[in-house]
Amino acid sequence: MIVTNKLTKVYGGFFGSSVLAVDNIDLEVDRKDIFGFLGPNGAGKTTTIHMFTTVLEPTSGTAEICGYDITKSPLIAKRKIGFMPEMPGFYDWLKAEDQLKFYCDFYGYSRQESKTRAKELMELVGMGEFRNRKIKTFSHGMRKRLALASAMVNDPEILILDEPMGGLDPMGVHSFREMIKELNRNDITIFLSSHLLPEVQQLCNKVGIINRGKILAVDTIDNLSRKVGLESFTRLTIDGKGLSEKVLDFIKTIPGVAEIRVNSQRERGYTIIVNEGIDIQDLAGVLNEKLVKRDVYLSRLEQAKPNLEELFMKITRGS
Amino acid sequence: MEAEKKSEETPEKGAPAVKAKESGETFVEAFKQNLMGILIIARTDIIAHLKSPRMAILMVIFIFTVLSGAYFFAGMAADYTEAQPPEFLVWTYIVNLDDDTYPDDMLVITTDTTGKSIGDVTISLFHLNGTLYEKETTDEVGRTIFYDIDPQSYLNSHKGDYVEMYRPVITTEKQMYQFLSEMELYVQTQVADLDEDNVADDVAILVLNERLEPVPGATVSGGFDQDEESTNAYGLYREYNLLKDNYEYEITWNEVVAVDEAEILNDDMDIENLLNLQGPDDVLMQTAGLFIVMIVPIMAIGISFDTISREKISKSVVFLLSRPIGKRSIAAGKFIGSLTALAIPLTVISLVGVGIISMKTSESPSGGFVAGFLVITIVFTAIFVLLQQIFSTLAKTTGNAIMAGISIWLFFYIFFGLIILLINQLVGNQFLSTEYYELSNKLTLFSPTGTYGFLMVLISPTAGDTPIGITSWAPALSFTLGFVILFILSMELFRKRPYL
Repeated sequence: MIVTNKLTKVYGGFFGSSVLAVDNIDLEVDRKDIFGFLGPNGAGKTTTIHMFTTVLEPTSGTAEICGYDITKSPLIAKRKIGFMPEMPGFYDWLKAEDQLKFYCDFYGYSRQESKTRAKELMELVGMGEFRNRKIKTFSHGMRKRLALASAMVNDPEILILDEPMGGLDPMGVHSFREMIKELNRNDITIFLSSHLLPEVQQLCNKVGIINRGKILAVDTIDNLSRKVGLESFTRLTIDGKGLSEKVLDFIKTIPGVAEIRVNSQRERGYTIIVNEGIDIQDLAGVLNEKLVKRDVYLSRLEQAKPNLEELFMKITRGS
Repeated sequence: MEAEKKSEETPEKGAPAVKAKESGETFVEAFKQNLMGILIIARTDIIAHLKSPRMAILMVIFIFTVLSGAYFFAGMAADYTEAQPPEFLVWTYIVNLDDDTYPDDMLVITTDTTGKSIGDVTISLFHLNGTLYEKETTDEVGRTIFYDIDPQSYLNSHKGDYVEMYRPVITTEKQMYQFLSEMELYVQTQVADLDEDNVADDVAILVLNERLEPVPGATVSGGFDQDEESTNAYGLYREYNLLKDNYEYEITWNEVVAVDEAEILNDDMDIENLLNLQGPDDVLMQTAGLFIVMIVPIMAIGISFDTISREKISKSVVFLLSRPIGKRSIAAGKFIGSLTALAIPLTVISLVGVGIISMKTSESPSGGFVAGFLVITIVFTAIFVLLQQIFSTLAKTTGNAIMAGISIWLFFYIFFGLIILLINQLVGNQFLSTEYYELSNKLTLFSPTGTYGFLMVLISPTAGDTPIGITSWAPALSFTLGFVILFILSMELFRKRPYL
């Protein structure tokens, strides 16, 4: 859906010094992806996004949106995307609905269609009751929601969100996350840049990490973790008088149990390594139920997921 | 790979209209899409501008300046009386012709403006109450006599269509007896438009001897130039284009001296004549040249100083740029929005001004001139809207954009004239010489304010002379080029700006 080839942006340079903001980046975002675009401040995230939306023109290289080159067919490319900027600006003197109708007009909607669409979108972002309020009265959270609605007017194939949850309260973050998931379920590819790593971890199936204009890594979070040596694991420790070969053999037959290791003398007991994707709470319940009558008990439950923050720090520091 | 996938996997989602071709966008599609975008942006801006309190303030200023200017000038034009060149002159002499004791007879002589007799002029003598007293026709030597006339009477005279109205003869009996019966020289002065320049600022003096015969070769001194000159073969002396004043004449013939005086009431140097306000067309031209040229740039600055900078500062431009419309088209839409929002009230108020002029001067300016004036004024407005939009695009703050706009207005309105003076001085042109005017007019073509004045003069039905040193199409070319260059510049600068 989004393919870039050596996309580059250099600022300035005519008189003053030039700044290489985006340096030969190659990216590929597939259909139905929720792609997280991560990087420290000034890494080139917003510049890249603005090239996708043709707010900025690339210095060199190409980017394709749904197969359309953004410099050769910018208008078609723009019809395919919905864009929510980090700091959404509106015509504050307009009513929210009128602002949406204004954006609808660019896509050739009829008057009636625009009206219906604006109403629909205000409902979609949970602001139906504020349709006829002037934008100048809106809070930051409401402006963010209106921005999402504005990005959605053309029912885009790709939604590009620049820091969509920045500055929102926990409730806001939660509802935004749910809205994004819902939009993705409805076949919309999401490209989002964010500083909120836990959100990215929860939402995105794929991340790209950018620093100083260069792409450092693009992959799923798990693959990246493995590459930099951050393993994910879930394990349970069992102990008790009733532990015997027979019991251990029985445990091995329980679904979800991958392996049983003997612990050191000091730690005592055995460690059960659990298969990926198993709900640890459920497994613990099953084990408890079956083992307690054999005088074996769960002494510890450990779960370690690859930490995106750690991953991010490792990768960006490495660069 | 993505492109291949797209065609089979993604159904045509999104908005209706303008279906994308798989190969990319064609020129026609892009053109249609951009045109639609321009109209959408322009429409939104027009509504926003027309509703804004700022527009109301600007229009109050415009109404006050332009309408009061038009009212004032129209008043001046209405007061101005244009002189008609006379077809003949009527001379009257109150003398004693029937040898009774009283000089109560009137000799009427009719001549052309050189003093040559004209016959067959009907002279009517009326009582002051308006009833006809007597009617005579002058003979082949242009003379007729009324005997024993009533002191309180007046006459009018006509030959064909030309009528000279209501010349008072004499009003009181006392005045009548002031005339001496034993005059040796009869002298009479008349103020009229003898050189047919529509100003009654010429003097004719007819000199007759005691037998009431014309006196050629009598010396006339005094008047405007104080020179001594003689009466012509018909006994007439003429002096042209005098300034508004009282003039005394001394006429000498055969050592007989007579004195008379003439009063010039209208002259070429009148304020009315300086502005050339002789009718509604002149009033419209001067209102445009003095008031509209000054106030329109202020309107343009006031409306468009923040059209771009406000979008930049509020970041709404980023949303706009992500819509399917080119950057140039956004700039064009903004320009058309500002211009239309200004042009609508400016046209309405200007037409009200034309109405005021028509009412005050009881005559309408010519339709073609009004239409031309509106077109030129709108292009003039467009030039300043574009200049201001460029500043709004370039300036970092809205304040800077306003300052740049006011500076360029001052530059063209005041400093440009000084620069022209300076350049003339540098190349050594004498002040007000032909070379001075030629160079000044050429340089003025680089100023929209000056060119606006040229265009108004050129299309005016009354003052259509091309200023010296330039061709008649030069101002129109200058205006068109200026507009096109600024229009392209405003779009390109908007396209080049980074919006982060």
